[in-house]
Amino acid sequence: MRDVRRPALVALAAVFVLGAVGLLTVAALDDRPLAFTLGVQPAQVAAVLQPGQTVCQEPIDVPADARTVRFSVGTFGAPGPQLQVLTRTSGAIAGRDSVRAGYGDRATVAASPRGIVAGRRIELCVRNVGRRQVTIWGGVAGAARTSTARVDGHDAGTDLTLVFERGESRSMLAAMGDVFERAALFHPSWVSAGLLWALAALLLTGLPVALLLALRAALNSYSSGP
Amino acid sequence: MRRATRTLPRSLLLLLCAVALLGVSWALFVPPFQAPDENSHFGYVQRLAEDFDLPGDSDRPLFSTEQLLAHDRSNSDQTAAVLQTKPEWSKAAYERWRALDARLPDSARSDGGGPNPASSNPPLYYLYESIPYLLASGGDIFDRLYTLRLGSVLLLLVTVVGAWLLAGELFARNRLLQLVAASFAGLQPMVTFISASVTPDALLFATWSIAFWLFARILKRGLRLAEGVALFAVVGLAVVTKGTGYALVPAALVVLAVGYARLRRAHQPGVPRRRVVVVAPLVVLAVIVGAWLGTARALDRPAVNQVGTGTQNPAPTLTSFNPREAGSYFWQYYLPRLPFQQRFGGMTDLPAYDIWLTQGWAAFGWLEVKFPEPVYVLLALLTLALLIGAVVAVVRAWSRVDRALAAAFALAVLTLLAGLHWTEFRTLVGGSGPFNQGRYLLPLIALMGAAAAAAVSALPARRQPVAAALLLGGLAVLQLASLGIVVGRFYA
Repeated sequence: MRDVRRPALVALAAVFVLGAVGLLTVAALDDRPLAFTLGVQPAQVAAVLQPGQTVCQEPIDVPADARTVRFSVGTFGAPGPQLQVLTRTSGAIAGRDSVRAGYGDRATVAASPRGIVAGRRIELCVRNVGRRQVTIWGGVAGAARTSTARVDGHDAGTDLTLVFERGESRSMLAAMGDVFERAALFHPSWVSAGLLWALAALLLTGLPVALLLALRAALNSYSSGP
Repeated sequence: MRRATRTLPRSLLLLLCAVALLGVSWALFVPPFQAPDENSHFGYVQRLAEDFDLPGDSDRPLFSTEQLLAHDRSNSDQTAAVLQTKPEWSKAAYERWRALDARLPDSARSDGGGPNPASSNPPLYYLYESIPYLLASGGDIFDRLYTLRLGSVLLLLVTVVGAWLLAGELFARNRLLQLVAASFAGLQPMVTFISASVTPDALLFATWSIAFWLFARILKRGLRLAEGVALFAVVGLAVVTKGTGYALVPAALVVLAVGYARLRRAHQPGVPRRRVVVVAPLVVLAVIVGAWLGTARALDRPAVNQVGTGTQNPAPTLTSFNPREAGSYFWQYYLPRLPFQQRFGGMTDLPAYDIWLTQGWAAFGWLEVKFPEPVYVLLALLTLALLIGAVVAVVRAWSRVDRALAAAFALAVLTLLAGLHWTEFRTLVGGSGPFNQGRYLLPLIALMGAAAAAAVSALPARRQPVAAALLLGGLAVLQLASLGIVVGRFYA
């Protein structure tokens, strides 16, 4: 009986341990730069900026510190003009950066203005400081319901697709604390990050133990016949 | 409870604990409304539970004010099926939603009920889910949504028990093979994901699994009134869960007919040969299905889920379809397209791989969350190995195989496939695009589990325990990896 059970139990434990270690390794190597997004699909042109015009997405409640913002631009096939990217808090400029001219049509460009700090309510503005028009991509009005795109102060009827990234690199594994905090939002009142941590721990420990015991029980009857 | 645990085999009980843990994990880690059509299914339950009415009234909004606010503030609509977008991560936004939600009037829960995509489904699953909905009705919408998901997880456990019982009949209660079959049903990631969301598919998987067990029980042990009635009650429940349930009817009729014929041949003293063993099950089926058909007719609403076939071309009918077109469609579904063939409708290359295999194993969220391609190649190889092993096992045991049971299983599979392909053929010709999704094959999960067990049984006896262990371990790791990509997609 022992020679039937033991190799099987060892095989199950080995597969699980190797698999779990492999997954944890992948998670440790999986770089996750994303700080947050407004959750807007880049489905359409959200704003057309003539030279000198500015589009601002406002207000943005910053849930996590970010260093860089990325967005998609259209240039009508020509090299893209220089853009200035500003962050404002309570009307005052908190940070600024530029996107150099010469990027391509439908390119995703990046800028790193200061002031994207967790807990703040900001405006993020893009100003066309070049000589050619440019489009900023985003979604229909209401894609980010609590925030709106305005071109030179006028409601554009759209929202910009803005992707905010962290300053320093962080792996998926290192991000797990934030992951469980985020996962606990818009959940039942009894679900907390702590509960999700406990579930994850149970998956890594209780799941293999239950399967090992189930296999052992099945093998007990197996070796003694049907 | 203590009695139940005494009578449940220990290995099944432990497996159920493992599957329950996974089911709860899936239910809680998947963000709200990020499973296929979950928003529509929740809207259906809400309409039933709040007003005891069916959705579909074109004068009403698709969803209640409460649900629309929840979609909006959790960013679920923008996130659905689009990898670039994420659910709302801001605690401030969550607190603002809570404040707004607390101010909603009671009517905000009951002003939905319009013609959402699920509104033409039969009502059984939604009636079942009305119970957890009402139990959680003191909480907010997310309390209720996640309670409904946990209600679905209970159905997953029924699916696992069905697979266990079926394997018990097929493999003479060989516990190891029963464990393999039931584990396959409970640990296959797409089954767990779907069964841990709000969807009638969870009940469909459960009813089909129990029906397959009853097929085997009746044909192995002889037709008795209780089993006959139970089978047709379960088939009736499948029919009033989703139109897919009708695909069980022909096979169930074969089981009943063969069971009755064997009963008449047996002439065993004391065994009733009265026609009641045939008539009563049919009456049960007629009552269950008839009740729904009558209700649907009285309410002037469709009795089965409706699939739009598009308006580009007239959709083919059984008397008007072009056999060449149908042949081209089938060829391109299962085989590589030949150089002279035009792409049929909006079909992808080789949907048998892309849809049945890829989506059937692992495509989460609104099917946009997938593994890298090499993982599916491995899963294809595993599937192939299990299929070959199952065929070898059946061929070896052919003299002992109950041909009627094999025919009933084959008929159920073919009827399901025929219905799905016919529907998709109509939608492709009509112009509304592909219809099939991998999960539509998962009502067969108990049979798939039995096939996996058969494949293990084809190995030499001393190798079977290790093979079973490798399969269980592999499925458990696949579960963790699946949860990992879901968490990564939505929260990181």
